[in-house]
Amino acid sequence: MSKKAPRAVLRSLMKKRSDTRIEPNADLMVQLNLLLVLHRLAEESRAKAFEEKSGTIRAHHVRAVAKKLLKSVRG
Amino acid sequence: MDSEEDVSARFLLQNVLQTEPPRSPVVRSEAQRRRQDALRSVRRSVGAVASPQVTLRHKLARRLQESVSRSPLPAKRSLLDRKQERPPLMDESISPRVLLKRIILTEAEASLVVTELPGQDEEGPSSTESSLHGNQQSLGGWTGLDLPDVSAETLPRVTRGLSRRRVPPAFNVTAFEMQLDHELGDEEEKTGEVSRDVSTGSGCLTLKTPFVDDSSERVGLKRRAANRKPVCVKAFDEAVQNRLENYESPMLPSAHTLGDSEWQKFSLSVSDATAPDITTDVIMCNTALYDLPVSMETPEDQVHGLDKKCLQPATDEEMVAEQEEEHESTWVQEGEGLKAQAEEPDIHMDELHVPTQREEEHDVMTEQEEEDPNLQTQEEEEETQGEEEEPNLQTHEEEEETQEEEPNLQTQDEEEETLGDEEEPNLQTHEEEEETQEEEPNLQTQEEEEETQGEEEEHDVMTEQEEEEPNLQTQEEEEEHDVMTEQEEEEPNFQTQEEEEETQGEEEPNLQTQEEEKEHDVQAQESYYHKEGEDSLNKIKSGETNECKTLQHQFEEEEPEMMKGEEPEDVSEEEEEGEMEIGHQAHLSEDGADCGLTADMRGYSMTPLRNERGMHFQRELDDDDDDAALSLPLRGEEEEEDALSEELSMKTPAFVRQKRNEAMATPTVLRDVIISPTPCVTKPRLQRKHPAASTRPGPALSKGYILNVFKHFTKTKVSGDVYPVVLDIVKKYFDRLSDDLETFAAHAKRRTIKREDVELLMRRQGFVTDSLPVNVLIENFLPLEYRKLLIPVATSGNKVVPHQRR
Repeated sequence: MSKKAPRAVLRSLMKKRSDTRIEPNADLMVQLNLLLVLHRLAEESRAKAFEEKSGTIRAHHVRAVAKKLLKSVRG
Repeated sequence: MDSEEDVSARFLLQNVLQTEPPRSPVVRSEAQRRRQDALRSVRRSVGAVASPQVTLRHKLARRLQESVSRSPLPAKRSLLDRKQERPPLMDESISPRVLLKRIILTEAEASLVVTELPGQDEEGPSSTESSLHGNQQSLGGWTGLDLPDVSAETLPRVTRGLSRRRVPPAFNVTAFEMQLDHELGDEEEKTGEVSRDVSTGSGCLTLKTPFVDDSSERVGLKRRAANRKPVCVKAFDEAVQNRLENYESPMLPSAHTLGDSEWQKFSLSVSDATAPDITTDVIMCNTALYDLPVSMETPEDQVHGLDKKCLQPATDEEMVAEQEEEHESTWVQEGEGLKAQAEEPDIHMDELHVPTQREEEHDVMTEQEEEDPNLQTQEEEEETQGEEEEPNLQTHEEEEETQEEEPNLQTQDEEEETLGDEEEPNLQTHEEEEETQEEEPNLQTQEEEEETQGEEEEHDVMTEQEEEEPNLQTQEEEEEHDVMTEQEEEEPNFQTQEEEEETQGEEEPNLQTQEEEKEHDVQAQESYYHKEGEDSLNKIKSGETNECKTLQHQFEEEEPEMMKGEEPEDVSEEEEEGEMEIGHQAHLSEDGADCGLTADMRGYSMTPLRNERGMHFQRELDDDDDDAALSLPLRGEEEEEDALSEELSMKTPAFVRQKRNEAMATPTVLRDVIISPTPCVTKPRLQRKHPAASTRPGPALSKGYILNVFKHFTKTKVSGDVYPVVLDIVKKYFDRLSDDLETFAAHAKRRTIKREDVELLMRRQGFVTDSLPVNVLIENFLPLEYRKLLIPVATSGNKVVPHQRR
């Protein structure tokens, strides 16, 4: 399931303050970062879902984890 | 030694072979080993001179020096001369490894040609080329020298080197020569050094140099390999066990991608147990919807078609002209047979009536079926069925329209005039349905009348009607009474109505089952009656009450469906156009093709009524051209009926309207639903989806992408509603991320975000630690192409990819 990372979207998201440029490979790193974050989010959500004995991850699981996660990935 | 880099082992070996005299490969034997040992001992024993081995070593050393110092060419030539008749060893097909081995083996025995040492000082061949040659020569010349010297020490290394099949780049001869110069005094040392040098540093001795290099290289390679494999394997094992233990989900092939394989630590298989797709749900729902309209179509369509057609010629035409035509055709055919059923289902009450009604309905059905699909036939049927259809029509009308009291009344009136009271009530019912469901007490009364009459004449029908009546009565007691009176007057119509009712009864259950029993019970009856009335009126005109009935039934049937499929406008239109009924009837007579579905419905509903009336039908026919006009007079005629129908429609239409609304709610765009339910189902779904997709604001990561990644990471099922949440989270994260990156870049007084900025960010985030370097993460997560871009990869030719700007 290797997908083409949506680099264009990444760039557009990163370039909120427009004047800053992004190195070509930097967005790949950002992609990596995003993957890591998603991964962590997924793990946490999964743990939370299992807590509730639910085999499927539901939205409320994810939401519950999100805040804590966002705090942890502060930099 | 760039040039030497290009020289492969094979090449060097070939040179060696060329230069070296042919020798028979000597199998390592104990003798050889002993010799080697002796050589080793000799080599180590610096002091020993007398031993032949020592002398031999000296010779070798000298030879080395000579070869080094001397110009390579002459030596080479001499060697070449010797080597001319090279045995198959020259075969290039033999791998360098084999060659080297043979050389090692043979060299041990070789009688070294001892050349003058003094040439050693000639460190001429300092050029790379010469050094190369020197290397070659050294290979050739030194092999004998070196090997025995090196035997003890170098041989293993040599073998090692051989095993690696790698010939290290030629060493710079100058350095070697320097060393030689220094060590000339110490032959032994030289030899040792030479050998050592050769083994260690001299590029000339490819046999020796590889040792160190090989080892170093090997170590390096080993390191990589060691690092890679165990990790992967361990991760794999762990993942496998984890999966086996935790997840029973089928393991997808781990080799989804390199990226995935790299992610073995996290997930071996992508448990793509996707969350239940909305599409599937939709489809499921769709299927349900399909079923409903499909099943409902025939009876309902017929009824509705009848009613609607009768009732809503104009509007229907506009709305569903095409559809109605189609529907009509289909409905008529179906309706004829199913009119009875259609009528019944419309009203829902028919459950009770089913047995009785069905019997009659079947008769009616057969009759209807046999008849032409045209409304006329239906109208005829209606005529025969008369009042039965009328109530059906009425009900249809009721269902269709709830706003039109007048038409119902008019239809009722018309019915009365032509067919009698029954028709009127029927029409009224129709009209009521069409117009306003509220204003069809007449219809109700008609229905009641019809019912009563039906009972008198045909118990079955009556039962149906009665059953309908109670439903209606609950809503339209007063109206029903009126209708009853009117209906009584119209016995023939009543009979037909009974039939209609029967059919309606049949239809009703169908409708009920299909639509909604509760709602439709009363409404259906009312509408049914209305429709019948209307239809009867219509049929009167068309002279085909049966048809009307069937049509009505169809309409009734259709109505709910139509209601589903038709826009509420139709309903209102239908209601509003009790007059339309007439027109509808006319349409019906004309196959109802004039109108749309609704129109046809109305027409059908009208025609049956008219059929009964005959006159009305004709008028309806005329009305086809002028739906409104016709409907008006008809309405005038059927005022009574209309009133009744209205009354009936008052109640049933509401109920029917609910059906309609339901039906219409889903595929508002699709009246074609009746014809082809599938598009109806899909279109609303698609419509719903489209706005959702389009409304997503701005540049957002594709939902599918996030979905994919998330699912992959979680390895468990993920519900579909998660993704908006995830998307939102990611957006927030991205905002923060970009701010941070920008800050980092600015701090570095840069205007571009560079990779190192991101790396720093990751380190701060804790993703990257001392133990978890970035590159590892890269390898783990990113797909291959990206990995290549990020991690400099050394390729052959001393090239590094990607190009490192230094």
